[in-house]
Amino acid sequence: MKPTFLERTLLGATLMAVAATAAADAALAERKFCFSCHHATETGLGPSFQAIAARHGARRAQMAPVLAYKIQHGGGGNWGVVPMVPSQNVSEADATALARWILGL
Amino acid sequence: MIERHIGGSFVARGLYLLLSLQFGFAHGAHADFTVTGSVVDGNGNPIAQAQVVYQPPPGSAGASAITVFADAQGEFAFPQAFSGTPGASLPLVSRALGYEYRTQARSGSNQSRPQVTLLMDRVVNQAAVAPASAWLRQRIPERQQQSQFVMDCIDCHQVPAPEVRDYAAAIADMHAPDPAVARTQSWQMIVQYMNRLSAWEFSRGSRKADTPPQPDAVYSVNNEDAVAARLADRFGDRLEAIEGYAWGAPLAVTPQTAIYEYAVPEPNAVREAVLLGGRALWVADVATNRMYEIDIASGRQKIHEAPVDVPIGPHSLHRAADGGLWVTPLFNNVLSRINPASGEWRTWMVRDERGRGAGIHDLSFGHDHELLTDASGRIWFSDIGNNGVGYLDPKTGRTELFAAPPVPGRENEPAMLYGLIMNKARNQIWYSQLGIGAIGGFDIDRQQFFEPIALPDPNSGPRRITIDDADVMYVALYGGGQLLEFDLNTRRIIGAHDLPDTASAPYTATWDPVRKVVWIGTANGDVIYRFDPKTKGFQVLPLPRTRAFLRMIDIDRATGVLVTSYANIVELVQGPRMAVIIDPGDNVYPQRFAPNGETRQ
Ligand code: HEC
Ligand code: HEC
Repeated sequence: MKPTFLERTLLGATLMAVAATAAADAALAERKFCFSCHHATETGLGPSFQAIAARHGARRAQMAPVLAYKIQHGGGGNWGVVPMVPSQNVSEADATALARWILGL
Repeated sequence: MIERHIGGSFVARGLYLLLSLQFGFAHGAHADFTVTGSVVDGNGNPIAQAQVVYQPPPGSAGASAITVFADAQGEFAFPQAFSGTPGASLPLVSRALGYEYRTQARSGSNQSRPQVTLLMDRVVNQAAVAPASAWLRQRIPERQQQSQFVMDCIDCHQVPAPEVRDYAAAIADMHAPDPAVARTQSWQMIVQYMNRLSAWEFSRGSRKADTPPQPDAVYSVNNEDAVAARLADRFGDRLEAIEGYAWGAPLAVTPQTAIYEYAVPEPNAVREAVLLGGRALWVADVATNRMYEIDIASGRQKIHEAPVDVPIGPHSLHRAADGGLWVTPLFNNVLSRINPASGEWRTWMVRDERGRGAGIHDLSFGHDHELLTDASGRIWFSDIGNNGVGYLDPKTGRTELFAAPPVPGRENEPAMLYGLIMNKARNQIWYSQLGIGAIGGFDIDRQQFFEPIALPDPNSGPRRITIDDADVMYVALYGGGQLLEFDLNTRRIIGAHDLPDTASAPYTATWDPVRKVVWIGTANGDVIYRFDPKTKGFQVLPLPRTRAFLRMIDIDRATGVLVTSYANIVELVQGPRMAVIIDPGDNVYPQRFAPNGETRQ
């Protein structure tokens, strides 16, 4: 049987060495359909979460709110010319949690 | 075949929740007030047929919004009194194509009968009020391309809805070195994303909760690149301004027309709604596997959980003559009937003798839009899963399935056998095949299909169908933007009539047995059309909001109000999810609908 979205992500999340809350964050990302475009380690329609963490790793603290804003409002230019869709149904608190989770904070 | 009987004590009482939203009416010490007034432009000229929307404060009894239309002098009156004391400014706005609401002024001094003047300015850019179809029609005017696009993209939300236009603007904002590349890549991503959402949404009924479908499953669009290329070509700018749209036919409204909208708790994936007993709005929700029962007077909502051990996904609703409400599932084989009085569910796992399950879509409607069974009481259904039709005999539980004959030249696409009606003699059923642009019939006595009829455009998208009292069938052509008129007696097409807006994506057609007209609900046009078979003419009933993605229309037998829903789907999509009651205000039915549930003679 092929792994489900959630299983794949949890697998990825484990690779990213994230602790217990990761499961809750992964479930949130799953509910918000982030995994339609992102995977933990492979490039999908958007960059992999691992690549995002690697790119912004040096400036994690500053980048968390920037990425949270981008998750809510969409936008592009960092990885190519394809804008990410906005996720207006994600609250600011959830967007921050997702950004921090991706950055491995 | 397993028949399951869910005890009333368990479902009707055990899982029966009450969201108590009881306000107003119960208490004696409150004032009622009525609202009248006029709608004028900056020069004081009346704006005839403007919509006036009253949005009661949250938590008020009754509808979430009530809309009336101004008369030729621009004057309007709400049919019912509102409870409470009117504040300095009333929660009122007016809407009209080519105008923008500016402000209101109170003209009368009587507290309990406020008179209000609503001021609107003429504007060139109609973006705030024009439906998505207005853009689509201008951007993709070629009919075959238009129908193909509607069939590819308009299943869950309108295109281009405001968020679709926002995305077009975001692409333009990339200031990419090669904007054409940015457009192509971005729209490609969108189409792939939408396909993933489709795979998720439309497999709800056939997978366990919390098990996502395979991420690569493609459901709706199989020509991804062509769709993306068309989007990049035709939606390549910021999509900010639209001019010159008109409804395209006279409005079917009077000063007595009233539209009542009822919000359904979110998240949901609302499908259809019917009104029972003049007072209870029943709404199917595929997402939460529930039915909502909304008391229109108090706004109180009861939740009827569907039996938990089978994935139903309540989808289409069919009133039955015995007062029962039949519920079809999201394309699996669980057929159910709910007793509205007791809340008791009864379910059948529909399988034939060889153990094959059906993928049920609709049950056969008669001319009064009720479930019509054949002479031996069997319930016929369209089997979208197996491209066929079948019956369930509810007395014996017996089922037979019949595979529809192939349509020459259209064997390779999924046929999606969809809508269903039964003739007056109750010995024929007729169906539409949404996926391949065909219609066909089945002779119940002989157990034989008639020769199927392929419509010229394979993307014409025949969707919900209806039948009048002389065995003329009407089919909403979703892609083609037409109403098909077909005579069952001669098995000939009488006509395929262009709707006033062919990009409106007509989802449904319902025969009105008293007015002798067909009502057509659109998914992309924010309107309901009214078709008169005698004159072959259309009229337009504009809805009071954008993104009004309509599904089925039912007609209340006593009062003739239209009952429908705005059903944008996949929980995270923008747009309203509401049940809607529309009183056309023509006084044709013997009884008059009253929003407090007390129907008048
Ligand atoms: C429709 C596809 C799509 C969906 C759905 C999506 N994304 Fe993205 N995401 C992208 C694309 C494309 C980019 C690259 C944007 C860029 O080039 O700056 C991206 C970038 C990102 C970035 C990095 C931004 C940067 O500037 O480096 C984060 C973080 C992110 N996404 C998180 C999420 C989260 C969390 C969700 C779910 C709420 C989500 N995405 C849903 C397509 C998507
Ligand atoms: C299965 C239902 C479904 C179908 C079919 C569908 N969409 Fe969507 N669409 C959605 C949902 C859900 C959203 C909201 C996604 C989000 O907020 O991330 C959406 C949002 C969008 C957006 C805005 C992006 C955003 O999220 O803000 C665009 C553009 C869009 N759709 C275009 C299309 C096009 C073009 C098609 C035809 C190829 C299409 N849609 C078909 C469900 C669907």
